[in-house]
Parts: sequence; structure tokens; C-alpha cells
Amino acid sequence: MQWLAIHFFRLPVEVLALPAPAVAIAQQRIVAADAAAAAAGVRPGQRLADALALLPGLRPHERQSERELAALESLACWAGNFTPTVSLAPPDTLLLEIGGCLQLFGGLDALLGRIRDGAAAQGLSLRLGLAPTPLAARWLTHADSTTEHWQAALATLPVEVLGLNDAAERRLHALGLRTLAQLFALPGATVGHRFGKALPLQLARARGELPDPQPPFAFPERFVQRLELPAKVEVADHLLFAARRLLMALAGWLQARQLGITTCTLVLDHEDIPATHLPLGFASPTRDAERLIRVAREQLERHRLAAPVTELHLHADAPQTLAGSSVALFGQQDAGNIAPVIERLRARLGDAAVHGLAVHDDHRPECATRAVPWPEPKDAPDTATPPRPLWLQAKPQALHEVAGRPTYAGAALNLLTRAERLESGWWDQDEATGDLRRDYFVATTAQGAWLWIYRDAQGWWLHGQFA
Amino acid sequence: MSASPAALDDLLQRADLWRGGACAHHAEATLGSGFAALDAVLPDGGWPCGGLTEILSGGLGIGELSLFLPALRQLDAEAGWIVIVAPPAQLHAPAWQALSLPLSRLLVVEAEGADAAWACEQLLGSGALAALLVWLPTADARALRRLQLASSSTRCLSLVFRPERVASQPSPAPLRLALRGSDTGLQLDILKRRGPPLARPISLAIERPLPWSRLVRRVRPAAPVAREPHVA
Repeated sequence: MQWLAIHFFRLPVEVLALPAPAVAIAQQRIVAADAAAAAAGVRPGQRLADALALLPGLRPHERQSERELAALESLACWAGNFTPTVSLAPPDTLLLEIGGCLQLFGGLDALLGRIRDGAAAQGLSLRLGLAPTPLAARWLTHADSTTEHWQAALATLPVEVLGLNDAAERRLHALGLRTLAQLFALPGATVGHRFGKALPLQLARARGELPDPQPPFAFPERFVQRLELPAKVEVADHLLFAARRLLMALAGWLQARQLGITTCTLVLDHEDIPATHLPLGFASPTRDAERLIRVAREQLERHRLAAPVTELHLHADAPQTLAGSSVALFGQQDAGNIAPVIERLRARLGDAAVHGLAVHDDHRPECATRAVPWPEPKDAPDTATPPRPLWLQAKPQALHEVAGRPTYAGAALNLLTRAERLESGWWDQDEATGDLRRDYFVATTAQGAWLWIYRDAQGWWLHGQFA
Repeated sequence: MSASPAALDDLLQRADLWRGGACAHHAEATLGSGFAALDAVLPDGGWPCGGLTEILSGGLGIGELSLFLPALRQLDAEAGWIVIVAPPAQLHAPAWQALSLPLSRLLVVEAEGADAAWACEQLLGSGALAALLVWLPTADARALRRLQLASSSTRCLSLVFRPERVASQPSPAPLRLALRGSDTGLQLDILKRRGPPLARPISLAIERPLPWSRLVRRVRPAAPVAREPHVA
């Protein structure tokens, strides 16, 4: 077992997403300070008045414990990206069992790098601790230690990591006990006698002498998450930053449940008017955070906000099972490569702008081609047909008739075939493609272009080119 | 000093060095054009996979796509997708299928102007393409240079179709062709290649809906023609 503890030590303030410098407070004392405030010397435990004296521009905000817990659960979903065994250690720590997944991520350094990058992308500060026992890992976050020699690192930790009450800490200091090493050196019974029975048990759990089972985090059955925005957001760019947290949590949730999605909905709540629903579509089932974010970015960039946004919701619509990382979805070919690009194109150009083609069984040339969202995996068998052009004009182009022969660009056309009569569509009410009666010919121009033309009651028409 | 002749030989073997008179040889992949006469004049003996090929053609219907049919048919499922960007007219699916072009691996992207060039760049970046056919009548040199860069790092047959009138403008494409229709075959001239200019256009009997001989043999008018007064 390898436990990785992730301590989001600025969670109370970072969950509020206030502009820097900011602090979260409870009972007029600082609970957490963001990086800018910490750099100015603001420390947790300080009185707000002292902090304001240090940094007059400081934005204090009352701590919101429910939001911290919701954020921690959302982060647990995100941690599903890395391992299925996640435990919550409220208020601000996650425990990940990573012994089984190091191979998958290419070693410890690579995994820690991904975790740090992921947290940075969400605007969260973290400290890590790595040890074979969950409690030692939690304590080691104090020193941000992921060293192999965890016992040596543990021994050097100050006794404050134990989280004892003030009186007990004072007594430890009075005895000259400042590090865990000194505490480990004492007999367990003595420690229990002086500082309560719980302490020797904790020390034993941290060192792996007693079992310390962790309740696993249950990934929710359905993914519906909301994120309250700190201020009314009017710029799509800022929305993306907030949406990123939700999308990264969604990706982790999908990974942990071995699911993929082809659509999800981002709901933007406004103050006065009904919420805006932004559907995010994917060409193939996915749980790749990069793809989710990319499509969300394209959608948000194109979207004009009707009103400032107060809250974001994210729903995963109809997740489907998606096992493994490389699934051949369309026959043998791997659509995985091109699918993300198709999503980008669709997000910018519109869904209908990227399509495949299918043959539709209809004699009318206008109706013989069907645009399909994705090419059909099997090609239909070839059927012998009279020549058909590769290009078809969306609107047939009228040709002048001179001396009974059609002309193109002022020169007479050379007709090469007998008339091919197409007569069809009498059942169709549509005026443009409905009942038609035409004689088709292959013709060439003096410039060597091969055209497909037809004659009907109205005259001669250019309908296509043999490219 | 005795090593210097060998060094010169080594130098002449380099891919980025070519002597006038001979075509450059790049180790890159090519796709046989299906026409022996054409392969003989193309550097590396086929269409280049990776790097733009610019085709300047007079109008639709002279055989601008049929020229590439033999090459496109060689692309199997493993090679990747065939993507058509900003086509100049609607694609008539029955014809594509009748010519044995795989609709199951064909995607069409409708875009205009700068969007079309952007889409091509994205698509080339995916590395999942076997062939890209794009119509860019108004693209500027900068857009083409970006595409050339994006394409040169792939193994994708990248065909850019442009109107005849841009022939005088400089282009970053390493291979530029001009196509012209005629009664006897498609007239192909190479405006630019990694090698000496072509002496004269070559004529290719590309695939047409009817045999070429039908063009030479004047057929009876198929449509009712005004009857000419019979002169005795």
C-alpha cells in the first residue's frame, strides 16, 4: 500500500475564488490566506485586524464550510482520474491509494506531476505526503514530503502535526518534546498515561503497527455538480476557469466508473432570466479532460452571455460504458485520433459543417446523397449505374439554347450520350425536388470539361461536373 | 586528403542537396500516380505524402479529381481518413461510390475562407489523415505556408485546389501543377517541382465517364437539332 495524502491547505479561501489578496475568516480570525496574502505575512490564526494592518487591501470573506466539503467531494471525483481508491479526510485532505496505479502513469514522479498540474489548472494549492500508512501520509503533508524514506521524514516532523489541544502541546513542550522522533522514543504506556490513550494508538497507526482502515469515497451514481460563482461573471473566459473545475471532476468521475460520454450539458444560471443550457457534444465517447475542456472553451467562446452568470451546473447525459483507453469504435479503424479534431471543427463551424456521406436509394440526383453525422462503417456494394458526376450543383444552372443545342459560356456543348430519362418523385410534395421528368446527357465543352446536363419542360440545365 | 572524394559522394547523397538537371530525392513516402508517364516526371516517382501539392485548374469537370483516383484508391483503411474541405460543389455520393472511393472513410468539412485553412491545419495536426483535398481559391501566401508546415510533418497526401489565375503568385507548395482539359486527354504541366522545369505538358488519359475515343469521333447530335436545308 502506498498512500498519497493531498492537503489543499488553502481550500477555505481558494474555494471562494476571490480576487487576490483574500482570506477566509471565522470568528474574526484568519482560517486561510491565499498566496498573495501569505506573502505579505498573513498567517492562519491571526486576528483579522492584525492582518488588515499588514495588508490594507485584503478581502476577507466568511468561511463557508459546506462549500469546502462540496469542493472536497468534487476533488475526490477528480482524483478518480488517478486511482479508484480515494478517501476523504475532511476538511481539506484527500487520501489516494496509489500503489496499484504507479505503473499505469509511468512512475511516481509522473503521477505526482500530473496531480500538481491538475490542481494548478484548478487554481488550488496543495501539499503532498507519501507513506505506507494513511495517517503518516497525512502528517507528512506538513512537510510536503514524498520521499522514499518516509520514516526518517516522519521522525523529523514537529509535534504540532498531531493536532492536539493547546494544553497538551504546552505539556509536550514543557517536557522538551518537539519532534515525533522524541515521542516515538518514549514507551507507549507513558505517553498514554500523560497525554490520553488516543495518542499512542495514533502513533502506532502512523507507523503501521495497528491497522487503520479508511472508508472509501463512493463515487456518486449520477454526475450532477454545481459551482457557485464568487461574483456575477460577465466574461466567458472567467466562466471557463470555473467550468474547468467541474469538467476535471467529471473526467475523474467517468474514469473511476469506467464510463464515457458523448454529450454533457453545462448550465449557466442567471439572476433574472431563465438558465442557459450549453450542450457539449463529442464525436466519440470520451472521458478525456482535455477534450471536455477544449469543447467547452469553443462553446463558451462562441456563446454570447445573455446576462451575468451566478452559478454553473454540469450534468453528464447518458454515460455509457467505456473500458480501456483505446477502443476501436468504427470497425478496425481507430477513430480516436480524428474525433477530437472533428469536435473542434464542429464547435467552431457548427455541427452540420462536418459530415460523412451515404448513398440514399432514390433516382432523383438531388436526393441520392445523404449527409450523415459519421460515415457508415460498411460501404454499400457497388451497383452498375450510368455515369454520374462527382460534383452536383446545389441549384441547377440554366443553359442557353442556341439553334436547338445547349451552350455553355457562349460555346455549343458536344453531347456524348443518348438521353437518360429520369422520371420520379411524383409522391413528393416538395416543389424543388418533387415530381420531376428530365432527360440527362453527358456533354463536353470546348475547354475539355465534362458536364452532366439535362433538359426538361423549361429548357436546358447544368446539373453536375465529372471532376 | 584521400578521403575527400568519398566526402563529396556523401555530400551528393544528402536529401537536401540536388543538382540542377536531376530531380531531388526525398526519402519521404510517395503514392504512385497510376500513370507511368507522370510518375517519371514527379520527383520521387509519385505524389508526395507530406507537403502540399497545389493544383491550378481552369474549371470544374476537366478531371481534376479523376487524376488522383488511382492514388486515392490505394489508400486503405489503415492509412486513415480522406477529408474534403470546402468543396466547390455538392458531392454526389453515388458517383464517389461507383468510382470505388470509400465513403466509410470520407469526411466532408464545409467551411469558407480563413475557416477552411484553419480546419485543414487542425486536421493535418491530428495525424489521422491519409488524404486531404481542399479548395482554397482566396488563401494568401501566409495561410499556404502554414499549411505547408503542417502538412510536411505528416504522411498525408495534401492536395490544394486553386484557380488558374493564381499561377503567377508565389506559392510555398513544393509541387505545383496546372491542369487543362482537351479532346485527347488531360493536359498536365508542372509549374514547380524539386527539379528542372518540364519541357512541355504531358497528356494523360485519365478515367472519364465515357471512352476518350467518343470525343474524337463526332457523334450524332443527341438533341433535336434545327434541320439544315439539304443542298443537292
